[in-house]
Amino acid sequence: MNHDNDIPYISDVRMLDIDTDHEWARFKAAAGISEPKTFRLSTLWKAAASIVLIAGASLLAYNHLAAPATETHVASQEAIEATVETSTQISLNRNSRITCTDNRKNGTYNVQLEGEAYFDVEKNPDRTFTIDTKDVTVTVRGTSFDVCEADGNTTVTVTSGNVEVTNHADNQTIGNLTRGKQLVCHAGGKMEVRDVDNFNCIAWKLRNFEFNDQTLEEIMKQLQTAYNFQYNFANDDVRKAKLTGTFDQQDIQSVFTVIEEALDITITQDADGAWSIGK
Amino acid sequence: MGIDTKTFETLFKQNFVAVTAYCNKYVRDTEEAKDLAHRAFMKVWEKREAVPEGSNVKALTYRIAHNLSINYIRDHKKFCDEEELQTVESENSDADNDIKAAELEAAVIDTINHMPEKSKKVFLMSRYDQLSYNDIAGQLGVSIKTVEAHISAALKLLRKKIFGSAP
Repeated sequence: MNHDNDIPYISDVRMLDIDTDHEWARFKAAAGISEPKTFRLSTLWKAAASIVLIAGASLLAYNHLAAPATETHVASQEAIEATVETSTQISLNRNSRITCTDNRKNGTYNVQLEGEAYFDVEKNPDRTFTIDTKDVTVTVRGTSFDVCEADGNTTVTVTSGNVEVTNHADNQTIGNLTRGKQLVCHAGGKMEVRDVDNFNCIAWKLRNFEFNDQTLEEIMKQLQTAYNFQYNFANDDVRKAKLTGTFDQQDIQSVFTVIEEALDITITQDADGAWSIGK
Repeated sequence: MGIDTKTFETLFKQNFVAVTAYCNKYVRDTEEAKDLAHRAFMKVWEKREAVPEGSNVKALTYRIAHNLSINYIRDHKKFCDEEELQTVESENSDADNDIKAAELEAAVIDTINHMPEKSKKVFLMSRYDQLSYNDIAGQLGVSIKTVEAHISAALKLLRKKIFGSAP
């Protein structure tokens, strides 16, 4: 029997390449099913300022009680983008979640963040825009910035405008954080402000890297945050090889090609998708 | 009484693609079909407390999906001809055959989506774009023998997954 003609015709199989987990996440969000599991949500804030917020390696199970106009976005395997208010954009990094509460009555817009997000917040003098992590409250003063909560620390890196941070431990406030300033709030509430000379730490969003005589080990670690790949080193010589250079919005393949040329090494992809770096 | 969240999640994940394929037979638009499938599951979810013990929830979901699809076609009548609508409406909504066809389609889709990348590409070009082996070989810069090998591998996989045996 010739089975060739037994196969049913499907209108366009490529359109039905459905990610069931993704659809389930969508459904759960719409149905209001809450469960501290794998969500996929996204939010991005657009403003006269942009902010990146990075939060911890682990998601905390917040209990979100019903509040005025609340929406939740979750990024599980991939970073996602969301638009809230009218034009505030939030890029949510992998393994992160935000819950946004629009409280028009008292003129506040609040975002609860677990993980990391980059905010581009729309300018609106009539409302106060705040972001809460476990440890701090970030108040937006017309700014772009990144907030990262990881390893027990919350890091706020400002790319434009002006941000104010208040820690939850003792309500200490540090204001006037501007471009190039990075605030770290350590476990326990101690805060320090330092200058950053590049924005590699938020390259997962911007995909702009600037390396200055850094080892391949350090470089791969940073590239991994933006491109999400697995890799291994063939030997310590390669691991310790040093590189200076910049990458601007390039795909990972062309980044690797440049590194291969510069260091005279080979970077090849295994059958399982991991990259092997060797001589 | 009722359906708990875990059971519902399993129902959703096992049947979402098939229900979408089922709706797609009516609306011929995969994005709309996906939306209709979402709405069908939502209706089941909203009624979860009221579903009697032992009822066939899957059949219920398909029945709702059927009704939503019919409503959709009616509301978008200007884009479809009356005759077609009557044919669709007269069909038995929850006939086992329709559901089986949708599930078969979902199984085919799932199998195709799990084929090795090259075989999948060649297979889709052949079966869905209706290209000849010669054209495919030309477009991909491979020999006709290679195209044949990919088609053969793809069909073998489909037979195994769908018919449960390889010839």
